[in-house]
Amino acid sequence: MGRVGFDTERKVKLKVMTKDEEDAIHWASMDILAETGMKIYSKNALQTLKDHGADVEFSMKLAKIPNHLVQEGIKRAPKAFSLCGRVPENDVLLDGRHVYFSTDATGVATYDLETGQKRGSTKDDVKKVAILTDYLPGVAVFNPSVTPLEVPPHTHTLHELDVGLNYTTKHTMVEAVFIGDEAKLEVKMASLVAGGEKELRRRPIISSIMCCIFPLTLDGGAMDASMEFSKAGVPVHLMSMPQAGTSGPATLAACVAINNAEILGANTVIQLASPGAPVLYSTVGSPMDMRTGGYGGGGRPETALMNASGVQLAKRYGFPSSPGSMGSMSKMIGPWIGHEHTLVPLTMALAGGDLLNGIGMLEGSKVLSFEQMMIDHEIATSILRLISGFSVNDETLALPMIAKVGPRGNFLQEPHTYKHMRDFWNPTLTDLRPYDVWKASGAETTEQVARRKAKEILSTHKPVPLDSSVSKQLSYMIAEAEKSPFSKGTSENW
Amino acid sequence: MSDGLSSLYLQKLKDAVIGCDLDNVEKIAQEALSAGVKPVEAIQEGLAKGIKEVGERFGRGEAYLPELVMSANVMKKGVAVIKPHIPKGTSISTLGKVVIGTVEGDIHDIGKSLVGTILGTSGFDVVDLGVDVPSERFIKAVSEGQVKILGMSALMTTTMVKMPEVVSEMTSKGIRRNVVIMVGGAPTTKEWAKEIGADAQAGDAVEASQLASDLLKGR
Repeated sequence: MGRVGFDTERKVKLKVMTKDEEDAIHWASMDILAETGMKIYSKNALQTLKDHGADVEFSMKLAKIPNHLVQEGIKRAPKAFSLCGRVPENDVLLDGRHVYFSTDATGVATYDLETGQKRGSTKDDVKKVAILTDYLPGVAVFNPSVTPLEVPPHTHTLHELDVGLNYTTKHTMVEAVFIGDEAKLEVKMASLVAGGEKELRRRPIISSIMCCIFPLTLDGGAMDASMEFSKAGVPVHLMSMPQAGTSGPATLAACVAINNAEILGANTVIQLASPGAPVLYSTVGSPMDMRTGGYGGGGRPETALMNASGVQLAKRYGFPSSPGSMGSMSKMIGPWIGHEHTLVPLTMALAGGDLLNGIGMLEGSKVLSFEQMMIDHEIATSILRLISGFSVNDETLALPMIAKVGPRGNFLQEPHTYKHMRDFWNPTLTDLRPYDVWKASGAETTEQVARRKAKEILSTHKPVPLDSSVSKQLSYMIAEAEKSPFSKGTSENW
Repeated sequence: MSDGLSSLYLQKLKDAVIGCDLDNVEKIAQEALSAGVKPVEAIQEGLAKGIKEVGERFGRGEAYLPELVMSANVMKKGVAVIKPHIPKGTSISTLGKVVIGTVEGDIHDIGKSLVGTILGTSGFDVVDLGVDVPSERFIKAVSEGQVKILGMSALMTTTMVKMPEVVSEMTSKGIRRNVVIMVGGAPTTKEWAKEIGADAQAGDAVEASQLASDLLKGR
């Protein structure tokens, strides 16, 4: 199946900061980078910054990055690019005018589709997510959702990538990689499928997440891995995750300023090392539960405010964005998650985020539910429909028809109605029939319908397979990698 | 004329209905007649086959309602051209005559008309009495004979009370037993149908059509 995004000059443009507030955040971030600096545990990254004139203290692993370098980084970052699919029909153009959804996370447990029980996640679960993603038009990008716990831990992301490359023709996001050599191997795997390194650079069929450590810290291995991906032209989602009240200050403005500094700082390193490397601006914030100190979850109004401010800042600089969107702490399918998985992504869509993530996860992106995946897809397509708005012209105003039908008339039989009847969004999980009919046909709940439909898709949909020799080579590469853990390279013991 | 040519025109008529070709159906019907296609065949094996297929697609959720309505209108236009050419005394087979209407005091039209359209596409011969229909008119229509189903619609709790009036009047006139009585409209329920002595209640047009077919099978 194809993918849906909407090419539209959105008429509703949500901004959560005034221009003055946005300027103030920007300058605060610049001040933070130049005066406070960032801890960067990568020798490569620090050396790159030092070579370009940043104030680097190697013993402290601290870099203070002057404004002009940050500006240079912003200037070099591409303003629009595509996350490519294995087939071009599934390319996802990030140009600030489209909105798409992706799955998300790498959780550790799955609600089994057959038993309904929660259990440790497996590679087969990842495969099911890929097949559903391949089928569902409202999910444009595959992210493994859960990790295969049965394989050697150092090969988790390799197996996830293997599934993505084999079981969907849509773009695959590999989760955070923390070792440079692992990134190199993933680039090799993706190149094999893309048709060579040059082809991968031209059409990046994978992207990777670089998760910053709040506040103002970049992991050495993650930084090395991101630099490898960038060198190969693989887009990197620069993700910052402010937790207001713990790793972040208790005020949203300060969290947003630090988040902005982190992403701009990481981008500076990447752009100095690999000018023009594609990156995404990704804010995934949430407040601590101030009452207990627990994780506040990604479905709160403050989450929406922080992540939307991230989108607004991304637009200021011209980065495509992938804001956190669906991250409810709900333990089960029900009203709470339905509300949270609408509140935040709707806000992101209205703000103009490019790639909204989080489809299908419970418990703050830890637990996969295939039923929730179907429900979230329904929410996603309705949001996409909403932001596409409606057009006003002679054809859509249809004045001659209004005159013809007249007062007390009925438009049902009009050719104009026939012509436009498929313009409407249709629910696929909600039963719109009358109560008696619904009751008589089994009184299925939304969750039951979602389960039935997920099973139907999984038993009938066959994604276009990879060439079998390519698929075998991927398996071979993974089998080789399973033999011994990766060397941590320059980031080890440093 | 050859069977091949005839089947070509029957296919064209069927396709016109399926394709909602409101602009060309009259021309195609005319051409079919000129080419020597038998009028009854043109309707039953051409137009009606088309509407049956659209009806089935509608039942599966593939065809949308405006499409079904449009197809029905195309069929009507085609039938209007062909009907005058049917030799006297030839009958067109249908599932039976259905009389429908919205009860007195109630001018809600859309739901009732939808039921009529869908029953029509299912092969019933539908007589729509319109809206604000006094009880006597229902009685009169049923008395005229050949009616297999009477369908009454009401959208208001204040007008649905007209339904039992019609039922008891039919009973006292001795014309109740030969007719299936169906009721519908937002305030009606299955319990209500039972309470007033009707045979069935449908929540929407699709259910109404299904029930109508099922109830007649039982007779």
